[in-house]
Amino acid sequence: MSRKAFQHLTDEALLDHYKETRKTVVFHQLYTRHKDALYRYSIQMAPASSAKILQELWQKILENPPQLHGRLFRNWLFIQINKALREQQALNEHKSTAVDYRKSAVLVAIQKLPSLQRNILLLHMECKLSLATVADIEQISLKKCREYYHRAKEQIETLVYGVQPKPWQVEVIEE
Amino acid sequence: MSNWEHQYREEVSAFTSPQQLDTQVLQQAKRLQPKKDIGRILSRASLGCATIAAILMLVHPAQHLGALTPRMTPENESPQPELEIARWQPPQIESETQEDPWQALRNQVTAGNYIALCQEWRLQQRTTAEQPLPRELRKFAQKRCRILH
Repeated sequence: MSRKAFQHLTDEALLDHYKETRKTVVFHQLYTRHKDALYRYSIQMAPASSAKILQELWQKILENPPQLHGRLFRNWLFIQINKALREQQALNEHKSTAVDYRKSAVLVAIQKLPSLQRNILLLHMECKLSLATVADIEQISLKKCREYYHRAKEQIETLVYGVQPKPWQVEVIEE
Repeated sequence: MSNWEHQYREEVSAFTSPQQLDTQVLQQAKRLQPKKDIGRILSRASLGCATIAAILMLVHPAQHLGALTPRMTPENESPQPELEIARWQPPQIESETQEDPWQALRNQVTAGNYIALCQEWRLQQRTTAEQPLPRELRKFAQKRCRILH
């Protein structure tokens, strides 16, 4: 059976099918769907160790396919990578980045965000997780999560375009 | 979506999973793929062959047993069997009941006339007869007939 035959299946159905058959073609389909988003997220969170973490994550899935218990595979995947990245960050906090972001002002701005805000921004914007899921991952309230997300966006705008005077901030000259 | 978000999408699209990582993960997937059960495949193949052989035997048993009869066509069909069949007559059934050579003598004895019996008996006493008297007639003769010397 070719990879095209599995295109219509959801991630969860593919995972179930892989659990039963352990066919490489099924896993390949699942891997292809998420590999780039996972890489983009992990490279921006922990550039030095992203490849190693990703390999370990996929190995874990291959050896012991997860029980989702009604969760989406995508959510499960990013929760797991988030956990692994946290552990890795705790170990190698001071390691320098391996990616050159100098060409992109936006990417440099994202890197300048505090770790929590960067994580919230990337999980929602890059990984397409809902803010509620992101709040669960970060173990904060949804209100706080939304607040951090919007603040992160504002900070990036400021970092990319500079501080722009806003009409309501203009001081009224008293005569 | 703001300008920087568009810019982010464009720039980040160049970040794709490295080829080396893909290769390593997929090789691992291949290693973990269960090996094909050769025994089961062979079993299925042998079962299939046996089924086909059985069907062939059932459909064309004559081919395998060498008992294929020649095909009869109007050209090679001779009229001889038909004539033989037409001329055939049922064989004569031989009568199972054979005539008793001593029946006449028996009838005379039954009627009380022993003359013929005694003559025959006396004759057999003198010569060795091919057909000796039956036992019951001989007993009658011993009782009724005198031997004339």
